[in-house]
Amino acid sequence: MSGARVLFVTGKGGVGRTTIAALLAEAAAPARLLDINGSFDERETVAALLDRLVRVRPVSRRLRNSRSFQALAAALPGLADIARLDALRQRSERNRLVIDGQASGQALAMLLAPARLSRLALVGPARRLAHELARFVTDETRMSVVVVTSPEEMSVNEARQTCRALTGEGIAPRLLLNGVYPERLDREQTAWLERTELSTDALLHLARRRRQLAAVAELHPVPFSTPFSFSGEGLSVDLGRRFLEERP
Amino acid sequence: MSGLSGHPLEKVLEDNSLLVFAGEGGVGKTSLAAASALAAARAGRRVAVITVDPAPRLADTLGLDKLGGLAREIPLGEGAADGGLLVAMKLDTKATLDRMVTALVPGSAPTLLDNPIYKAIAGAVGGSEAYVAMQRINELDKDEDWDLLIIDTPPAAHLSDLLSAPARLTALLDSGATRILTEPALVIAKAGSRLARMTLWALLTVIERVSGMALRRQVAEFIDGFDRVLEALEQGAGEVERMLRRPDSSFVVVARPDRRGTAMAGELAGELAGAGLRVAALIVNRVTPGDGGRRPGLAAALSEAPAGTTEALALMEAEMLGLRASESAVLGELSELAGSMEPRPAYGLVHELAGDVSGPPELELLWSGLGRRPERPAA
Repeated sequence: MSGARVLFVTGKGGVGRTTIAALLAEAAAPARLLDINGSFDERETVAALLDRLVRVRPVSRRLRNSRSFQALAAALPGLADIARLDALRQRSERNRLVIDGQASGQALAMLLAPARLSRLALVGPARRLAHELARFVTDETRMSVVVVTSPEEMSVNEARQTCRALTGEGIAPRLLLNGVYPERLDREQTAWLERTELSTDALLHLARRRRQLAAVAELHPVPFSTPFSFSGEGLSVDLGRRFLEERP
Repeated sequence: MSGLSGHPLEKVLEDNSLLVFAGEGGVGKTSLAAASALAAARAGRRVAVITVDPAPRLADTLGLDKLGGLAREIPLGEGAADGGLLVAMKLDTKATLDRMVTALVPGSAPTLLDNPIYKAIAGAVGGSEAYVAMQRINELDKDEDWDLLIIDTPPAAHLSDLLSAPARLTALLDSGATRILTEPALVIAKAGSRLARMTLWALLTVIERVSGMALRRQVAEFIDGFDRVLEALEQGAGEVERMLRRPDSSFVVVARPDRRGTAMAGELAGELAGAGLRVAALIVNRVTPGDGGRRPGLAAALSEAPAGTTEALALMEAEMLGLRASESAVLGELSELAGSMEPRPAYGLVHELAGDVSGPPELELLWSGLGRRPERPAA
């Protein structure tokens, strides 16, 4: 896991994807942190893919400059995803990458595109490409997918669906639970607090932790967790290192 | 409108006949939209609320899951004014689009609904969900005589998706790519140079290879059936845009009280203003309740508490205090943001409820919570 060339971070919007990607990039140094939307321009990646597939340069140049082709490429199921993934794979040969990925729906579409493409009866370069990319996303030494979730019901549900879909195509994702309220009281202390109700803030703290525990109750095994940041302080890089070293 | 009087959103609900709740996923848009709808209905208005991605328990209580895209009437409870009506429905993107297709091209609908290009556009093209949500509002608007339509936007939707989805669809289909694919031989024969002919052949074969689809046939099929649908979509997009610009249509921006929440709310407000659309209210949801004060007697009682309790409680209280401090910094920024917007929106904050919002009682709590602490930006 810690050796994967690409750490791909995804999750529902607002769960802390970018924060976690930054943490993992720091922990995996020297690794490059790239934003999937900022660093893998759709038009450029599609153009690069064309060059590889068409091989006759003047033809591929004409094609990529054609507005018709661009419009069609944007709407064709999977083409842009395949192109992006291919670009990602090539860049990972030069550097270790941590990718601040898309939200789970879009990320799934991209990560599952090779499997979908391989299932079609293809011939020639497209077939080879589909197989190469399918191997790339399923090989844990090359790509490791990290699904970030917050300990809230809707985000946990989405994360579970994402993991299920990935597993179904041979990709073994790791879950990371971000923003967990720490356990501060043992059983006896909790009973005392609940009996006396003397600190409203401690009760609120306790209630929030319990609600989080209920939301994640069905996650097995218990995922790696990062603590909730009460006053906006950042996460320690040690935490990122521990995540990378831990055997899934 | 007795039930509304004095509430910070009173005027917002009274002055508008279409309210779009916008904000990041997970901010509680759905709950606030439903709470506002219930309050307006209890005050005697005829209200329809469409939710896109309701939390399972709320959907369950409102009966949305069982009924799919259909509407269900929600009981208004005791003390509601006469004449009020509330129906709630969950948006089903594909079903709405399929229904449009079936109505517009009954003959070719079965082929079209099965066409991979149609499926890709219906399901995956960015913003199609947002677009269809607006389309559904348009249908409803024509359907019946509602006083107020309320909708919450899909979680990841940027406003630009909402407004530009139909434009992107039509740009694609007008681009000429589709014409080439429907009549390749014709275009290739006309193409002058050898290079141009090669390019066109390459276009077709590459796309077919990369996509693995029998593309030329499918595109022809798609164009054939989708032409009429497209016209309707274009017309509908125009109507939706006009609807959003009516003087009695507004957006309600919902934000979370954290850094990211402020940034997203600012971005959204900017986008809306840029598009010339009105923001009627800015609501900050899930603010940490309480003031951190200790109950009298704590210090004395602690001497009887299990070992370590004093330290543990101090730590927990410090953590909650830290959270409140960072929230209040963010709230200051959000209130400033509201104050800088023109026209100035209503501004309110809601404290997090102790339990899940799973039905009308919690919706009423949410609504009254919003009313209890009406905080408007300083003049």
